[in-house]
Amino acid sequence: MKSIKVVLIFLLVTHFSCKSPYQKGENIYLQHCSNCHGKEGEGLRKLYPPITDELYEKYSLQLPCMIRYGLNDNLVYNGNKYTAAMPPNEILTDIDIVNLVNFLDWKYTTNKAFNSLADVKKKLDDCN
Amino acid sequence: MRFTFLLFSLLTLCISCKDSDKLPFLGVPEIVDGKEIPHTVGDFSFVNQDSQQVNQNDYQDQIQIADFFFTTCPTICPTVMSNMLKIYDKYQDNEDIRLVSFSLDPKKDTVAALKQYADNLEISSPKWNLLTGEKKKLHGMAADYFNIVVEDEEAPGGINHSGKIILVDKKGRVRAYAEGTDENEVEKFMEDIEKLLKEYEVN
Ligand code: HEC
Repeated sequence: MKSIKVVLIFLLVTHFSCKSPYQKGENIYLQHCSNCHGKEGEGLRKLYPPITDELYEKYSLQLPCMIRYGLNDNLVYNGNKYTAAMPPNEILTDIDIVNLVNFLDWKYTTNKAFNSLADVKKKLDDCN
Repeated sequence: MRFTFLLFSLLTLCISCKDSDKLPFLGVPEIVDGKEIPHTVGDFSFVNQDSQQVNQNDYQDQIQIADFFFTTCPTICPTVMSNMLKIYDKYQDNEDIRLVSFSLDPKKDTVAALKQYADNLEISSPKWNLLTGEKKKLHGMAADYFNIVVEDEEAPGGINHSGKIILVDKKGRVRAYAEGTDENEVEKFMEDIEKLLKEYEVN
């Protein structure tokens, strides 16, 4: 009996360890962001920028605001100026944005900060 | 045992002959003098990203792969366009094939905006024309190409439209289409392009 439990727990752990722990956030990314930024964040030619660790770092503070209100920054990366604007997303709720930001932090940062709903709400209140 | 084998080979035979079928002519045919004439896409005259006038005569000897879009479209167009890009890359050197994208938002999609978009996607005319012009005429084309367009303030980007990619033969007849956001449909569409190309090999 005991050994079965051990095996079960082992299976469970290995099962979850190959997947991102932020499944909800990943699904939201695939539904609302991957059409432009690509399934793996590879971007689309010179039209939509890739999401890389370096770029992500630069934009992570304003990310909740960008997601909700869009971005028109003409950002330059790898010698290319991205003239297209990122459109606002009015569908995603505060909680959706928390899940999304946590997934992206997990994927693109080394410190993998955890954002609470209160953190994100505060940022959203302070958007300009 | 032998019976199953027979059945199996019959089945594969059936499937394989079905597959080699010619592509159908889609749309409602016209009846002229008792003869059925397949639906063809209408005449048009628009301007492309390089300020060139483009009309149906530019496609007299070309297979058209068409879609409808606008450069600021936030939702389905990026996916449809990335699938169009796959087709563009694959048939880059095939003179028989041209891609054409009609803008549904000509007010924003000026020639300059289309040029910027084309440069960003790294595509060039006339291989791939992005067309703009009079809005009513552009929206009118959509129905000919099996697309549905409705202006809707609630929709993302203000225009609700379907993301179909359409295959039109050298005589302007619609031969196949795919939902440009559906990977499986696009894969099948790629096979349909090959089938249409074969038709022109024999003749
Ligand atoms: C219609 C296409 C489109 C969609 C959809 C979209 N973005 Fe963007 N995104 C852009 C563009 C264009 C830029 C660059 C904007 C600029 O230069 O001002 C950008 C920039 C970014 C950046 C900063 C730069 C980088 O590449 O890291 C991040 C992060 C980002 N987007 C995340 C997201 C997330 C998360 C979503 C989903 C909620 C999303 N985007 C949806 C087009 C899009």
